[in-house]
Amino acid sequence: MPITIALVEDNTAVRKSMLDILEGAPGCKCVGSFSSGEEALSEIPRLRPQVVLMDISLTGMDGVECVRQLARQMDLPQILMLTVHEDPDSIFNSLAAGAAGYLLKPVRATQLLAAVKDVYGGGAPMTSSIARKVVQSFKRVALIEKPAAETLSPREVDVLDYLAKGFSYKETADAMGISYSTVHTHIERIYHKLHVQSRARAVARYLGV
Amino acid sequence: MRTGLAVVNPNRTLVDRAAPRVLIERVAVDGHPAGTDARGRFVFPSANRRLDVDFTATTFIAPENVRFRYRIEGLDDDWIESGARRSATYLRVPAGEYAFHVAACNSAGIWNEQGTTIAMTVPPFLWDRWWIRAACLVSFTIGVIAAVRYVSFRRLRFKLLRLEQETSLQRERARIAQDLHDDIGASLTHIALLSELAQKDFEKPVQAKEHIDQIFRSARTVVRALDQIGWTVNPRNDTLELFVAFLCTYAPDYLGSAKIRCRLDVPMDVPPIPLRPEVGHHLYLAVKESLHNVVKHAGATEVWLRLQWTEEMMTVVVADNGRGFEIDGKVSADADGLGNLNRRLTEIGGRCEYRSEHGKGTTTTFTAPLKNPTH
Repeated sequence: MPITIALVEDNTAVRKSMLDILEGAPGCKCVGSFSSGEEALSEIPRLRPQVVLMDISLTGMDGVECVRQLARQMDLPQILMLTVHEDPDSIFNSLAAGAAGYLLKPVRATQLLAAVKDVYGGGAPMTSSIARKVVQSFKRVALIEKPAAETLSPREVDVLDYLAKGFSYKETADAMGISYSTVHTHIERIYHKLHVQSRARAVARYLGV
Repeated sequence: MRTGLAVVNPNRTLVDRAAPRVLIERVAVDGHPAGTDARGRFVFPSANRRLDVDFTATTFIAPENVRFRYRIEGLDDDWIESGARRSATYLRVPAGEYAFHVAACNSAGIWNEQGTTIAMTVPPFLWDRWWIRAACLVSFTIGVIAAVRYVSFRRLRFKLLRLEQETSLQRERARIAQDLHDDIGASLTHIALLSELAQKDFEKPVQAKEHIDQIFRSARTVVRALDQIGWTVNPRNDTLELFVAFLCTYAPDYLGSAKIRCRLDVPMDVPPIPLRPEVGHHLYLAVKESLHNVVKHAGATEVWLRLQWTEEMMTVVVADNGRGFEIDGKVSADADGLGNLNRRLTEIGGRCEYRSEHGKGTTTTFTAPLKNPTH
């Protein structure tokens, strides 16, 4: 069973090259490619790909907004954001909206395919900048909606603290005396809470609360 | 009816030749008695509305036939015939020195020409006094001069400021042009050359693979460089938060590619303070340069990037665990680079300090003011 992939990228030349890479790879099947977020929004829920490669800076609706709106329509597929700018704001917003990870363009063909297979296995990356944004986000929410807010456990806060200091997953595991996979579990749980939080906020926004 | 005879000799008619003496009975301003000054002159307030002078004549022969006339010297051109009325009324006497004359005549029409005189003074209003007027004129003139000078001074300062901004804009543009030329021009030239080489490599696939791989790396360098140039140019990025985020992304990336661990010590909450583009730019380049020095010379395995700030100051510390150097001892090749860092920080009103010892690493501290010192 090949992994089904959809691609959203507004630059025609880049889209074609990436399609060539995906088509030439064994175990991958590209089921749709779109040049705008609006187009992707109407087709992806119908196509139900397993992985979506989404450019962040699309003309018109941007990639982050597209992810947000997809999350309202369906159980999200694994979404990998593609970006030229390593801008923590938009990367964090995509991850909070439900994206599973991101890749910096230009990306090597091997790296792209590895990421697609990785992400299919699950798990979002957490860099130092993203960890800082996660901590800030939870603090801000805790300030606004005190009792209802999704909170992080002390262990999860510790993990974020190490990551914010620039520790790798491995170093974090060593420093905390836990296993690498436990760190992973913590991060998955943090992301889950972040999704719940951002979805609750999206619903609140939608209802005009 | 009784009878009798009366004889009248017209030559012997008794005429009352004594002119009546005139006396001033009352002098009042707006219904209140007026005061006199040391010389016995009546002084009326500047803001008088009504001036009454009551006078009378001392005669017992037909006092009802006594007639008066009066004038204020300096106010009336001629005598005012008052008839039998024994008072004079003036409205709103303007400022000045006056003499009030009143004369009377008896029933026979004999005038006491001398009459009676009182001196009166109405001081000028405050704003009518000459020295006040002079002072007003002088202060007005000074005011006008000051205003003109202030305006021209402001205009000059504004011009200077604009000139300063223009030159800083020019510098900024020159820098961007330089960056574009250095980073992107060089990389693109490299890519063009590599493509040429790759075209001749058909016989040697290993070499072709190597060249094409270099093309990829070069292209990626161009994209990163563009991202960084764009970051420093974009006015949206002129906040402390984005600057911190940028450094926290840049440093681990750069050091990671040199296999050096990067540790970050940054407060979690970044206040929404604007950051002058110059400060952001020079601090970034200073950090970039010192990280470059660490990678090139220090032989370090770990670098700490510490960011701290107050409302006035931003501090960036780059500390490595490398071999270090002696600052006052042997002048190494680094010295030149350190001078360059100092110049950068001075340009934004900041400082740059080093602490280093052989075998104990180097700590470089950059301090820069967050507020513009000229304002």
